Amino acid sequence: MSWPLYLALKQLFPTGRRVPFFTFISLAGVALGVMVLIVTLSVMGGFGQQIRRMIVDTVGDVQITAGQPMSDAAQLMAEARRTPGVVGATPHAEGVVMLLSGNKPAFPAIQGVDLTHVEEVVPLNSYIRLGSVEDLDDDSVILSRTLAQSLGVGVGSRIELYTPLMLEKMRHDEVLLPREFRVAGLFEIGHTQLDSSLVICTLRTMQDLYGLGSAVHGVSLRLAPGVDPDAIADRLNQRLPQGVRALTWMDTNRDFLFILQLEKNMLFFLLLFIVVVAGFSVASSLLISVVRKTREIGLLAALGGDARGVAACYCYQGLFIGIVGTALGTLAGFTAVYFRNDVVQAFSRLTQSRAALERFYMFTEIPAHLAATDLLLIVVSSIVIALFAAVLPAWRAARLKPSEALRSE
Amino acid sequence: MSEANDTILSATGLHMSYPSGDGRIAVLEGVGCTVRAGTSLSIRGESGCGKTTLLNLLAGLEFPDAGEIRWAGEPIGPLGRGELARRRATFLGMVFQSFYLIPELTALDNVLMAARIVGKVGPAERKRAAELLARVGLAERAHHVPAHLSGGERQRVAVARALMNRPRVVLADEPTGNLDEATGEGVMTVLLEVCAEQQASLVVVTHNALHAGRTNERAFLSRQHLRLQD
Repeated sequence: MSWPLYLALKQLFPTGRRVPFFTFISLAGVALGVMVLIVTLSVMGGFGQQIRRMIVDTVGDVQITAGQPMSDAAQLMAEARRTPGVVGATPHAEGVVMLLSGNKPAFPAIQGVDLTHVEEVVPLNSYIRLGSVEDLDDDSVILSRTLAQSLGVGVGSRIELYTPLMLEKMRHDEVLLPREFRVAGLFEIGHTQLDSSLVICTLRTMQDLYGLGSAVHGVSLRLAPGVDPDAIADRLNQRLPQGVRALTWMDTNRDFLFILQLEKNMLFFLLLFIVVVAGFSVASSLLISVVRKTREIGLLAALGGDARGVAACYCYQGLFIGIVGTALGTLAGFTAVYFRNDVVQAFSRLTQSRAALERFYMFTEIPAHLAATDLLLIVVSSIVIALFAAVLPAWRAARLKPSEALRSE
Repeated sequence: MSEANDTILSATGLHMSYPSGDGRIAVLEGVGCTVRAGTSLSIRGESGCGKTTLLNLLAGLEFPDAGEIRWAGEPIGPLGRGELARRRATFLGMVFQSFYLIPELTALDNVLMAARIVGKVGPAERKRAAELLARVGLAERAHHVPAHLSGGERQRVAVARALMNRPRVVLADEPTGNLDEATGEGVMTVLLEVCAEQQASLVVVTHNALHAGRTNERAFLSRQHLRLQD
């Protein structure tokens, strides 16, 4: 072991003595920053992953669309199914309707699904909270739960739907008659927007409501686990007819995913300042150490130690504080993430906010996911910051003139 | 002081001044000295006459305004700081009035620190450090930190550390200045004996005429020059 490293370790952890206060404070500062970063990015990552999974669950991995109704859905589905990696395909049609329940109006989105194929792509059954997909027919709809609550309807209630096609008929002085539907079930996905304004009906109903004939708006595809959606979309685009495009779920939600990533990046940079502040603490502690140990620095020169070695001794201290502080922070962070739900439940019990959590955030358990790259970024940033914090004290120590250092009081 | 073939350390025409206000205060003006291998030299002088400055110059810790210092016949002026530090580690041992032990290390580790700096810490070095500590009477205190040692014991550790790398010369700056008379006498005895045993020349700055009287050569420093005394 080189003497700068040996002395750095001895100064941080002296023989026969407790860990010095400055070492403890420096380590605690870095560890705290790392812990907060890990907890925050884990929870952010967990929500992000949940949202991504929800998007993929509801729209599939890849969607084939044309920007207008497509009449050759069966051919497109067959083409897609022939592509290696595609394990399911289902057509869909979508639009907006006016929904009336008694005197209460709503303007939800509506999606028509092919009941024979929808489960290949969308796990619709897993989102049903009341009623059943089996009860869905051409005279019934499934409502999102929040929408049903706002309208005051339940399973078995009857609602009326008006479509843009009806408005077109009204312009031709035809009598405007709404379509009446029975509520066959209620679903909940866990996404505020979808849960408050979505109606699901059969594909035939949707084609009828929108006058599509046998056309659909798109075909959703499910891929085998681990298959790259971009690769499948590229392969399909080479074979699809002109005007028809295969888009991945990332393509169709690019802005939303960008915002998610931006939020995460902003949080990372803001919380990284905790580590930066800890870095200032490391720097000031080491500067105090340089002043306190000025004569020892002079002694090292007298023993034959060079300025580079003296500087390295302080750099090693910063590096070591960075490594140990980051390790402790990582451990504390993962522990906090592991017990996150217990903490939230205890907090919500204490503040009696459990109902509010469920109502507004629609969760009782906090998701968590930390990507390896995020962890690597946290670890590297924290160690580099601690190392940089030691540069100024190291420079000051190296610049001391040995004879003046030995004479210092 | 006459030049001889066995000269291990020499200085000629040393001029040294320090900044003070708008000007500079001269501390040494044309001082020279010669130290022969295996001998001891004491330097006395009034406070502020430049004894410590002379010792720092001889150790290469400061650089003179003018003059030349030679270690084993080689001028140290042209050496870079890194090379000078590297050579200092094995050519010189230093003992200071305030001991300057590293408080985080045990007595044994303090002695071994000199070996660590030259990158040699093995069983042989550990054995030598333990033997040196035993020689200065601190075998039982080898694993004590400086805070648990008396002033005399600390200075004995410093003596052992100065000799760890088998230096050709030991420079001691008032090694008994912070010790009572009896303890100081003991430290001086150890210093002289161990340097003689290890065949290291000794240059000791002291105010104590009795201690100075125990060295082979005695000199008195005035601003102009270093005068040998009978």
